[in-house]
Amino acid sequence: MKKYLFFIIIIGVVLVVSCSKNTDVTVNTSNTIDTPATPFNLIAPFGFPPIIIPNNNKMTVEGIALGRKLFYDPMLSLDNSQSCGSCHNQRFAFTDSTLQFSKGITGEIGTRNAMPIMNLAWERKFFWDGGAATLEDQVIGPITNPIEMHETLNNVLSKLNKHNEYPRLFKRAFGTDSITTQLLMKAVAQFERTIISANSKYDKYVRGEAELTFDELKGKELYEDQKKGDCFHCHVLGSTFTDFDFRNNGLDSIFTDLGRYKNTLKETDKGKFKTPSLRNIELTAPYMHDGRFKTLDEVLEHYNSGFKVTSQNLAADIALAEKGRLSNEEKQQIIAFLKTLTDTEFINNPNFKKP
Amino acid sequence: MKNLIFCAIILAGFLLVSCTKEETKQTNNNIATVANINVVFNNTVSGMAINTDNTNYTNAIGNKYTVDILKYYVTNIVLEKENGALFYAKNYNLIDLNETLQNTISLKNVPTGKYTKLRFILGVDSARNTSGLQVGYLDPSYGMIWTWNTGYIFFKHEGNFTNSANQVKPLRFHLGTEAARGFVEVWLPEVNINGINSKLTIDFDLNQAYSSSSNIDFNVDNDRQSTEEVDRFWISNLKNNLEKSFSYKNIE
Repeated sequence: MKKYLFFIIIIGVVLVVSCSKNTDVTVNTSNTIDTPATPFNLIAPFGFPPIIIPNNNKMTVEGIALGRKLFYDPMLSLDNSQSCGSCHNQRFAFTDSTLQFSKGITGEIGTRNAMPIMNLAWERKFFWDGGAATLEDQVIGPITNPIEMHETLNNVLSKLNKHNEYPRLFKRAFGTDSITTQLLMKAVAQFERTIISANSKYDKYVRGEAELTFDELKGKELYEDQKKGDCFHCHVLGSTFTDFDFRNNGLDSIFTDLGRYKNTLKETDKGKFKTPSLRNIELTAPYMHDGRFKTLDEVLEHYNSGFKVTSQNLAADIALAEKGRLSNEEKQQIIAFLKTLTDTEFINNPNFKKP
Repeated sequence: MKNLIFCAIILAGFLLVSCTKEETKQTNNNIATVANINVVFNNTVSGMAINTDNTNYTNAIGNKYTVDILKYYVTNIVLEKENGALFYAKNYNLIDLNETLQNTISLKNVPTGKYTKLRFILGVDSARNTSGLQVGYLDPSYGMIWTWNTGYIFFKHEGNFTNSANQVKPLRFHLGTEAARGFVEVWLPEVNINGINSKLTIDFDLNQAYSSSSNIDFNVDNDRQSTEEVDRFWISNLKNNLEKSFSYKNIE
């Protein structure tokens, strides 16, 4: 009898198993998360607007660490010679030293000056012309650009998937060791969002921790004076030091680079480029989208009298400005103020260095 | 003990029935009301299959050209019945001359009946055209996204052409931007989706893309990336042409 009972139970079990096997969706156990990644809360510094993190790329400690490793990994370029960090050097607020145009892996040079990487968590569009809609989208631009890292996404993914560390690191950060374009974009963007500069002399002054000199204070006044520097309309004073908008600041009457127009094909966008933040401006020379000005003196002189009034789509604030309105002393005072935006803690922050 | 055996048999029987019941139900449903259909995009030049071996083709205005790459997005397919009922496929497919497997789009559970129209977006809808952070055929690794201008390349043709001075020049067309989205409507001669047939073939004629509404002369346009002022006219011409370059071939 016991034998029968045993036999019957076996049949029952077999039936149940065979049944559930057919109806259940197979669970892919290889992709399940071992331990969930640790959420990371990116906090806006004093005086900054709140940070909005995209819902599809919540930050984690592991994601940021992975992004940082990728940012400095030359494997992302065709011949494994250049990383993002090659042209975005922390010492120069993540610009390419004093080079006007960066060199790609083939030695070809670009047409626009490498932008600083800082406070991107507040930025709305990326690249000089706003061509990348999100920080995640920005990531793949330089990797695939033939005059930059010149690599295909398929190659990058294949290199990463074969690597002896990356699959494990992606699994920790995203719960899967199958590396995709999406996850690459997400990881690098997570790291870049943490690169925040908010501890310059000016920030300390605002927090009551430092004093500005007479010239610096005078420069701040001129910065905000509509009849003088008139910098504040676009480079909003405090926190971000930009309103993120696109403008033609009157560099040329005839455009050699159509700027934002290339993305929108709108006549009103011809010659417009991103209004960059002025934080760490002392470190990010040369200036303008094409790095045409080597010094801040040249920049100030452009806004004082160099701008071309006949330039199409010229920003109204510049079109209305009086030429030659700034004395040499006033220009120097504005520059003195701009230099209070240099953040030495930022350029030495160990969290942003090559891991 | 007999009771136990009886119980076990009943239990096993119950399990068997519950197991098979669902399967039969599903099969019945399939036969009765819905069918799976493969929509196949057949790429041609004036009805001839396209070779990528440097074969020369001639468009309506006499430009000789070759095809190395031909890719385009077919998304958001809608099938319309004669009574106006609509079936939304919500698909995102990339047709690629060099990847024939990609040219078959499988539509699941299409209600059976007579269909008179197949519509689709040639390109990517605006909701999905704002970021490359996407999967499937919208993954940027398919090379159909602009990395310097977030947005997809809707249609890509690369090859070369022989210009009016008889020189061979590169031909590179990358069509995109919000203005380039094509809304294609293919007329179907009361195609009866009945669960027996399973393959609906749609012809694409590359020559029509350069002449159906207005001629595109490669001597004038041979390298367009949808970024320059002059590209505007090319964008609108090519988009209008492409909308009229698809036709019903057969159902089998």
